[in-house]
Amino acid sequence: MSSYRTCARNKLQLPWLLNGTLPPTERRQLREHLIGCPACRVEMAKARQALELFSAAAAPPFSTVSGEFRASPSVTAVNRVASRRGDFWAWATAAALLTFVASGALWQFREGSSPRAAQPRSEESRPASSGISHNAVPIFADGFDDGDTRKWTLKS
Amino acid sequence: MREDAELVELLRAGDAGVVLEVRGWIRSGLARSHQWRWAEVEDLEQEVLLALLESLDAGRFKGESRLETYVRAFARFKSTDRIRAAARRAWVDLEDEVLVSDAPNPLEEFSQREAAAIARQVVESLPEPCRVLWRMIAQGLSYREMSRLTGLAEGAIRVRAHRCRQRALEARRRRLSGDPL
Repeated sequence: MSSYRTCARNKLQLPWLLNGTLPPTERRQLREHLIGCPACRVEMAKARQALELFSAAAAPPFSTVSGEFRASPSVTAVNRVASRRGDFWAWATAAALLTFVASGALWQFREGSSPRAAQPRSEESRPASSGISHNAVPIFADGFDDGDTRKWTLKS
Repeated sequence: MREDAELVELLRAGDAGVVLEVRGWIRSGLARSHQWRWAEVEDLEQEVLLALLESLDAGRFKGESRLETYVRAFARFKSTDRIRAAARRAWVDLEDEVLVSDAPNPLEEFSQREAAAIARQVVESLPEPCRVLWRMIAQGLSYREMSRLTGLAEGAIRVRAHRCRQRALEARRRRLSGDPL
């Protein structure tokens, strides 16, 4: 396949094709050449190996996070809902969820400040209609314990 | 009708007719996954074709399905990857950034650490200018930015990077075969 660019010139561009910074016109031309030139594709594989070598050498020697770590479910849920760009209803749902969580926390605070709350409260004496219960019920009905002490359950 | 093995060989060799036919399969696969704009289709088609050729060069097509089926599925998956990558650029998922959902497999972690240690030994055996150049490339700098930062001409940057790449891969080969660096 003929091309106005020689292989010698093309292989010099390969590192920047692989790191994604080649200008669009050059990228298009180089890719067209690579599609028709097996020898240059071998060079591209070598350039990729070199890039992986230097990237691996730059990686930190040890994991910065060890073990398991989970965000609070409300943050996780909000983040999942809010992960879609330009989705009005996703944002509305996220706002409603946060409002629900906040109102539940406020309700518990108000209950805690009343004279009745002076006595120690057991798990059984908590109102059944509280929005959020901490450590009350395992999150999985079959008793699965994933080690996360921050267990949440939404009670209706 | 040609056999798939013959088609693969012709495609890898750059036969114009086969390349054109495969491009058609790719466009068909892309059209099924998403409604891309014309300019995006051309760019994505090229990217998919090149990735497909790399996959064929590496022997990843085992002939378990027809080549056409493989190509269409490949295009659909790449299309989905592109959509996800674009979505990730707009929003950062907190789970991906902050949290590690599971501890790494000990064997995998050991392999990664060993590979990283070998990579560091190889890189440290290279001259400083080579290390600087390729670190900049790994960090995602364009050759124009590198030229501006180093004061070297763009052509000189490209030539030096190529020579350093050859030295790095030779050093890696020696290290893996147990020869002194």
